[in-house]
Amino acid sequence: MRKAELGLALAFLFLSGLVIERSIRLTIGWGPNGPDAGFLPFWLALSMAAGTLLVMAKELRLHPTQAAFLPGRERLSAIIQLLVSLVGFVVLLPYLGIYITSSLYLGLFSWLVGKHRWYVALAVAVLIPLALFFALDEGFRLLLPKSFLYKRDLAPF
Amino acid sequence: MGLVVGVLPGLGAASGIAILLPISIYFDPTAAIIFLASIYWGALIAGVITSILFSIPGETWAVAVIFDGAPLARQGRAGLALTAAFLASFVGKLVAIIILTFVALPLAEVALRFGPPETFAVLLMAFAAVVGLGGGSVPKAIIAAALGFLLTTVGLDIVTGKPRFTFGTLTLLSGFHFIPVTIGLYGIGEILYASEERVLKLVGIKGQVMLRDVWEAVQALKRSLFALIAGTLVGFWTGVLPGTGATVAQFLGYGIARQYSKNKENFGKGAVEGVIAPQAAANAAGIGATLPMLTMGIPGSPTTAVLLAGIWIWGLTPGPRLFTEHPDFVWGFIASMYLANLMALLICLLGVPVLASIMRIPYGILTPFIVVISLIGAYVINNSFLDIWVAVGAGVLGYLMRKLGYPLAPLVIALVLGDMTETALRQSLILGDGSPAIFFARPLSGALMGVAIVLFFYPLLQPGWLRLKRAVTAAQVKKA
Repeated sequence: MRKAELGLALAFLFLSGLVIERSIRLTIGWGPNGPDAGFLPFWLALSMAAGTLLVMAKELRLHPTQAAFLPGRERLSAIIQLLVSLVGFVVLLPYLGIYITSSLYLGLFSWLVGKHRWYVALAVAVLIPLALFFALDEGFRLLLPKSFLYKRDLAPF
Repeated sequence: MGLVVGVLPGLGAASGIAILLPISIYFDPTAAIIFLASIYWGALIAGVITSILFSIPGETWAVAVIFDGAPLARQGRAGLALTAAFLASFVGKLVAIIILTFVALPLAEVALRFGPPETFAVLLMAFAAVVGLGGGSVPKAIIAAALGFLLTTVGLDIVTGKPRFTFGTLTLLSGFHFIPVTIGLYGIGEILYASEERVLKLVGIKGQVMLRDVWEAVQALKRSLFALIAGTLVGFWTGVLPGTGATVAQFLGYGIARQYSKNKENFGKGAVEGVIAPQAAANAAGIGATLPMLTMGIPGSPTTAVLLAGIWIWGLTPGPRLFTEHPDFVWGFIASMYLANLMALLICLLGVPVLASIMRIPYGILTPFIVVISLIGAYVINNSFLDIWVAVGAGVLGYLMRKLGYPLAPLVIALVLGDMTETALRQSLILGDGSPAIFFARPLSGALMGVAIVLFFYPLLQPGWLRLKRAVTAAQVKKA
């Protein structure tokens, strides 16, 4: 996975460059109270950059030929599935609140990905958020994101 | 109560104690402190439950246990991991309590001599122990540690008051809290990684439940006696030191156990010692932290700081006089430690079969459930949506790092200890007028720094050493 290795190392390198530039702006010398704000980040980023150079050198030396970039198609799809659903979850969260969103997520996931039967998925989608509601909201009185229904006083969730 | 608080990610012992503090005013002081402290003890033991099962730290000091506990759970040996953790916690606490009972005052004197350079040296040791002993590549470990450290610098700089790396946004002003990051790196990252092979589906169902696990765990403890004892001692000492508590202790315990273990390579993949050591350390530290609290009025750890507030509220003054004027308070407190420890252990052990069987739930249901719990955990810390995104982002990073062989441990350690380390570093440099020599000028920190440096360079020396040996043997063979 040479490309990926180099890619990540380059990303880190870029990041350290960014930090270095910023830290210099924050001054890396001494301030009135000792080392100034940029001091530590500067040296940290420098070490990080040095590390990435070492990693890249090693990679180029050990694997002069190209290997597969990423895991095969099938595996990749599983990951993409997960990621997309995850992002979808977080995006919907502020609007639908934690319970509705989880309900949808749990239900759809167990049905489509887990390939469980629809009534299992339904049970999961209803029971788990319900349990969570009683435990967390009523029991521990935690403040979890609520849906627009809540904000309009239409429902307790 | 403590057990419940410990289990829930995001709800910490310190908060639990703080919340119940007002109620405790109605109790008499001895009962009050027993009540609140028990929350601490319970949390110390139970914090590992979500760490092992879901890779989500239940408490600040249940992070190191994820390194080896989570792999064990994935291999279907969650019962063993949990039981070992509980037993180690129990023993760690017990030994610590015994030490405490006898050694209260003299130890306190030594701890008083600790200043920023010493604190920094100890923290550096924790780092070095894990970075330097990483089985994997050292440059990658350094990158990980640097990254973690850099993440802690985001936000308002404590010393100068300047905002760092906030890119002009208000949300980043408070920086990255390590719990969402850890939840993402381990919990979500793990799920992403495992989903490649749908591996979360579980392995072998253990019919016989508790006794077998307890037996195995006891065996494991006997074999890893060193890890257990070293962890406890290191942990107790760390707890006694002002300011550093269970959170720091867990990493030191882990690092030292790995250093002297006969099978280093197994660490990170499910070595039981990797579970025993940090737990013994963290629990011992929790107890040790009460020492400076009682004898000097200085909190030994963040959680004891809250307990200390309680002591003041109840009208008592910490210090040597506390021992002479209110012996019943002090000794009642200590006695209750023995009891609470035992009870917590029993309750946890009884719960192990139930807990372990959670892992048997099929992938399709367990995965989204873990995701939901993780995200809730991430959100609840600061009621912030940013934290949820942080967790997701960290999850992706965790996945990439795992795929490409970057060790996660240094990153997490840097994240947890970063703030403390930076403050200690800067304070020390101020003390030393800008010269790093201060670290070596003082005998105590000098010694600790020495240890840290050795731990750090150990892997670099090792290959060189091996090559030397091989060259020598090769030369001998040639001659013959």
